[in-house]
Amino acid sequence: MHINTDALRTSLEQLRKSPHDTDVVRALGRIVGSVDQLFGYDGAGIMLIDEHQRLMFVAASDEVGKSLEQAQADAEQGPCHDTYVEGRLVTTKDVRSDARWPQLVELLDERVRAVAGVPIRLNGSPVGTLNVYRSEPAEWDDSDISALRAYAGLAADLVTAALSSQENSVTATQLQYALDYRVVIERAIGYLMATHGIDAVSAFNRLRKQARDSRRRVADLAAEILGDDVH
Amino acid sequence: MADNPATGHSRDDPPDVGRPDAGRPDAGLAMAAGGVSRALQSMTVISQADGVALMLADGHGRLRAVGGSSAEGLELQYAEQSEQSGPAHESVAADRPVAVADLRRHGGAGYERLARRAASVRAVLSIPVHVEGTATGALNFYRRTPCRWTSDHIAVGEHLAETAADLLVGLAAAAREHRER
Repeated sequence: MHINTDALRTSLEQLRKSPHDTDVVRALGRIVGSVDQLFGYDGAGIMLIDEHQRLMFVAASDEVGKSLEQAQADAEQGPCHDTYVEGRLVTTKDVRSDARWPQLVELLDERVRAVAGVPIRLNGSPVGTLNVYRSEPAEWDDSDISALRAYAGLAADLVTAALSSQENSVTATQLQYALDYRVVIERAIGYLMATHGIDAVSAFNRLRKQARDSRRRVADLAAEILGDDVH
Repeated sequence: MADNPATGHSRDDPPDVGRPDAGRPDAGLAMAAGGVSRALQSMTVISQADGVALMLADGHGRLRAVGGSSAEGLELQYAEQSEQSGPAHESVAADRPVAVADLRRHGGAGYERLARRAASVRAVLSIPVHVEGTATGALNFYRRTPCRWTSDHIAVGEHLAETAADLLVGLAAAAREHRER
């Protein structure tokens, strides 16, 4: 690390002397705007999990891209969904013909074709995704992926700073809750995978559906499955 | 308190900067240093430059070297701080991007000394970092070979400078929160 901490301390103290708006959603919106404008995609967005483990858009470049959120929420499948649950890069040349998400086609705006999602990680755990799409089928090359991962890193640093400053926003509060209980949820997903012989996405969907049907929080149900007490 | 350009640390730095520890008084600063370091690395990938470095105002109107994605980047900033001239100073003073294709051929005594001190860096693009409309520092993209900076490079730099400002404001608030705990 090549940082002059004395100069950094002085500059941060200067910034602290006058009140500045620390709206993380606006900052994430700027990242989405940069990704969208600089790399020539047809749209970009950032989704973060809420306290019910749902991926919700906090910033999107356009309405078409926003349809990714609702379509994947309704279908309980899709590239961004998998990116978050599996905590890894997921790409598709054409989401409409991709056999991994057969139920998504009917629900998704037909202008969304090629999709790439990278996880946004805090302390090693995924808390959301940065997604981009193209309106025509297309391959994703290494430079796309490197830049997206770097942007996801910047987004994670912005979110980390917001949570550390106890930013009083709905997004920060929801995210803090989700982060606090991410470990118990991950353990419950692992337990369900082992006991039912299913993959991570199926285990995650089963956990969430059971929580929704019984009107409980996902974290509470996860703890019950594991025999833990989250309180 | 003297800076040490060789290590990038001042003499009273905590020894384990970069490993946040909520129990230490300087945990907020360590977190901020880690955040800036990671951000400069990410911006290097995005900009496809050889590195990115940051200078910020110290409250007395002077720009100080804050960090670099590599040792040569921080050395460039120390050289500018020492010479009190260079693309970052010009960029903040004029409140506009300043592109230098080759430090060695740019001309002027200040640039000659800068080129000698930061010998491994040849091309620099400095973009002002604005907080609430005021240029509080500069983000500096650099290359080890001469380079003609294009409007695309400048567009990427300006976007990243906005994100740098957002991050610095967030880190300042986070550091204050740590201190008050």
